Amino acid sequence: MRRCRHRCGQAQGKSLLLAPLGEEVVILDIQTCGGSRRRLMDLGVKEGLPVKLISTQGRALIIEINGAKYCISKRLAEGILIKE
Amino acid sequence: MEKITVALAGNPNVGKTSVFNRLVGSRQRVGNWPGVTVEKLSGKKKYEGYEIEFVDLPGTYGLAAYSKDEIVARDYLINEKPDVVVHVIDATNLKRNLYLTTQILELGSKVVIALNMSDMAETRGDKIDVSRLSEFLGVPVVKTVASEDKGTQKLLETITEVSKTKQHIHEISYGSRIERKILSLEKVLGEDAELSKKIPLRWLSARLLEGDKNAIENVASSPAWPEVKKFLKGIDSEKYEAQMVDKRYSAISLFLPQVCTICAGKTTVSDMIDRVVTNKYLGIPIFLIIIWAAFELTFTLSTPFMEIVGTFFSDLSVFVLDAIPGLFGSLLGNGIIGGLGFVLVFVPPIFIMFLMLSVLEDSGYLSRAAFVMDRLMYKLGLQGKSFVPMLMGIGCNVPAIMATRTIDDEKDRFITILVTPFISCGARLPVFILLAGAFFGHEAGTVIFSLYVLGIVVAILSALLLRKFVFKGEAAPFIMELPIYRRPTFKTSFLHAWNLGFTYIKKAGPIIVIGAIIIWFLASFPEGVTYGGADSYVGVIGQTLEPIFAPLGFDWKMVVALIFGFVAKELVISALGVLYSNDETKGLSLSLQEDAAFTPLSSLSLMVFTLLYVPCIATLSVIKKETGSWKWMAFSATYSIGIAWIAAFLIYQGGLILGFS
Amino acid sequence: MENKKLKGKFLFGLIVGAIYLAVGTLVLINEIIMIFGFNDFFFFPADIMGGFTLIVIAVIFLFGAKELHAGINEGVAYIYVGILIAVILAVIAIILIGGELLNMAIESEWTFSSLDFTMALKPIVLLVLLPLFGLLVWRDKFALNNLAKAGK
Repeated sequence: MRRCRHRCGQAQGKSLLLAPLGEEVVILDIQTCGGSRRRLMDLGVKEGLPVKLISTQGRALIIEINGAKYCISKRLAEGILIKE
Repeated sequence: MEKITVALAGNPNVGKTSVFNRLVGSRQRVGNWPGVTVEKLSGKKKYEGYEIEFVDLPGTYGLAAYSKDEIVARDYLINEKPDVVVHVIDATNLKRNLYLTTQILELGSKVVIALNMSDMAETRGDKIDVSRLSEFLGVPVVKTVASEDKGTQKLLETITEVSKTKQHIHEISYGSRIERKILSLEKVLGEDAELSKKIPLRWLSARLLEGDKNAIENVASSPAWPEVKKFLKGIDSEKYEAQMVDKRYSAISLFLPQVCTICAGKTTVSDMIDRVVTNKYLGIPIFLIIIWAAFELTFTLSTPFMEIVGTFFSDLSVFVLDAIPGLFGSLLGNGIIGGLGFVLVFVPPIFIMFLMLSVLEDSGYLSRAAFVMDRLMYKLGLQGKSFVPMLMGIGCNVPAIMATRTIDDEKDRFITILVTPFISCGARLPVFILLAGAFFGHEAGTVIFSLYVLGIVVAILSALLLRKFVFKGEAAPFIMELPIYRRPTFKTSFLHAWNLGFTYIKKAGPIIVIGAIIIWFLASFPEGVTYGGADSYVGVIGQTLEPIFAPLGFDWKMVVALIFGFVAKELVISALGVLYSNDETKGLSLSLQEDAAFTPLSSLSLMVFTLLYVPCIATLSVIKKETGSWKWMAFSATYSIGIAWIAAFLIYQGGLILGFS
Repeated sequence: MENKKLKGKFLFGLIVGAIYLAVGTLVLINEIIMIFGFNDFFFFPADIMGGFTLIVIAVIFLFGAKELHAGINEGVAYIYVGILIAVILAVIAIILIGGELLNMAIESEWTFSSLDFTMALKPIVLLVLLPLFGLLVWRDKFALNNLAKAGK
């Protein structure tokens, strides 16, 4: 269980890194900040959206959102929370 | 003739440049990696009484703009105010693409949507109602398939029609709370009449609420700034930003199901290929095999053509020397024809290598290679995005360094700029082919491959050092799109390779001819000396510097060749030709084999030094331009010479100790 | 595996993977033997990159077989991509042989009788018959119009 880094202090969900490979899961919250957060939002990554974890390698992983694939760093993925 | 300016905007990898090429009719690079078009490209077209200037902007996902090329795109739309904006959209990913549409419409630009790759969307079963989409957006939509030149005429027609319409700002409702804030800010900003004329105030207010740094910079010099600053003090910009993004996507989600029915859930060809090539264990071995195959093809296929070209120039040089006696004949035969010949003989391998790179880029594999390499890159202080500029360095370091503009993080960008010159460029390849071919026979391909690997290793180690001691801190998190795989066509890849190869000749040609003349002069004078002999000017320079390079196994002739290599790496071959090839009946390769100073070990040492030492003048000047600093340019030059000397020393002396020669 | 087709693909992946692995290993062993100064031992030429390539292709097929055996249907991707990579590399090997022949012709080094035909017998070329069989059987999966053309 990960705790929200922002204001509310309530337990949220688990990190996208822990999602099963190839299965669609739903995003609960985005907990990154600054430019990365904005870039994710520009790509339509937000609460309630389904995301699929396709592959992981080292510190990068491939996800599928809105029908498109992206390679993102694990640090970024840590801040994307999904439902337990 | 009425003149209009048209900007092409859109996400990366949607085929903007392809649409641009169809409209303008010129040849431009189409790449799958965002940021291949890092410069604004423009072209003119006359159509039905109009003179249309098209500007191809770098790809951007939104107008928030993080990397330099996104800022270029956004600033152009805001400041230059083109008459029409052609927003190129990928029909296979409407939702994400339409996000940028909402922002461009908010700017009040006159927009035409080019719905590109509609063939791909139809293949996978998507049904897009173009007229409904146009109705919902309030702008014309034209279906295009740029790869097959479909829809171009209709697009031109629509552009000219739209240019005559009135401007209209499309507004998205952000909800009553945010709208109230926007209205209040607009009132404050409205006090600056100059600002009102420059930028739509609603758009600017929304950006300020989001905490957009660029927007803040725009307003900071305005008389309204103190009021604006006060207003923004209590605002949670992250929250507003998230809500506004959400509203835009909500607006799109409202009409999208009525416009597009999508077959979801099918495993595509792209998915299957990705499952294998991005596999944790197989990714890197597959990547190594692909790159090795590219090198083998380059070397093996180019050899017969090099033989033909080399023989032609050699015979021509002999003919000229016999036909025109004296100094002029020597200048023409030895200097110009000889010099040009030594370089043009390497056009076949450079062209074939560009062809290989084009096929890999056009297919979409290169971004997967970046993902696969990211783990390694991260351990060495870089990120996956740094990989593609470094890979482009295999063609030429100059565009490779320019491509680093796509890297958002300044530290990562600087490190990538400083280590990319260690990646062996196309200009160094002729030196490797000559020496490896002369001294390593059938193993030449493997030796050259190893040199490329060495260059990559040195680049990576340098990145580690720079990250640890100079640019401290962790590599920034990144997001990189993986476009769908596409079928490279022979025509497309051939044209790309031809374009690049021709650019190489155009860039290198004048420098080579001038350099060859200078080499000829230094080798021919003082009057009466043996051409290229120890008593000539070039001989004196080489012998003066020889003691510094003797531990690397170099004689004075090799030193002279390396000095000319500073101007352009192609001149290393020209210089070697002048200094070693005194017998016109023999090829340079044979002449080197017969020279006592050249052994397999010393040639390997020379190749390693050529690989690593100071990049050419063109590369140094672009380093200065991209870093904005003479200091970093000087550092690059000094550091690379030092590394080259140490590496060549270790190779040569180590080889001697182990009993090689 | 419930599906007969998937069982067929599993067997194909297993057999082809095993053959590529065996040959690739022999080629590598040959190279190692030669590095130590002995004559190459097996019929196959000594070639470090050639052996490595065969082993990687083998692993792709075997990965697919493993996933299919475990009931992961998406493992067919490895079979198809393995076929594609094996065929592409075999074509590249043939082009390389052509290049070498052309080079020899230009340098006037060979006559017909002096030509060493065994240079054509590179394992990657010989073994491609197996993936080609797969390409024939599942040719609908390799229809090029499944991919859009790269744009220009």
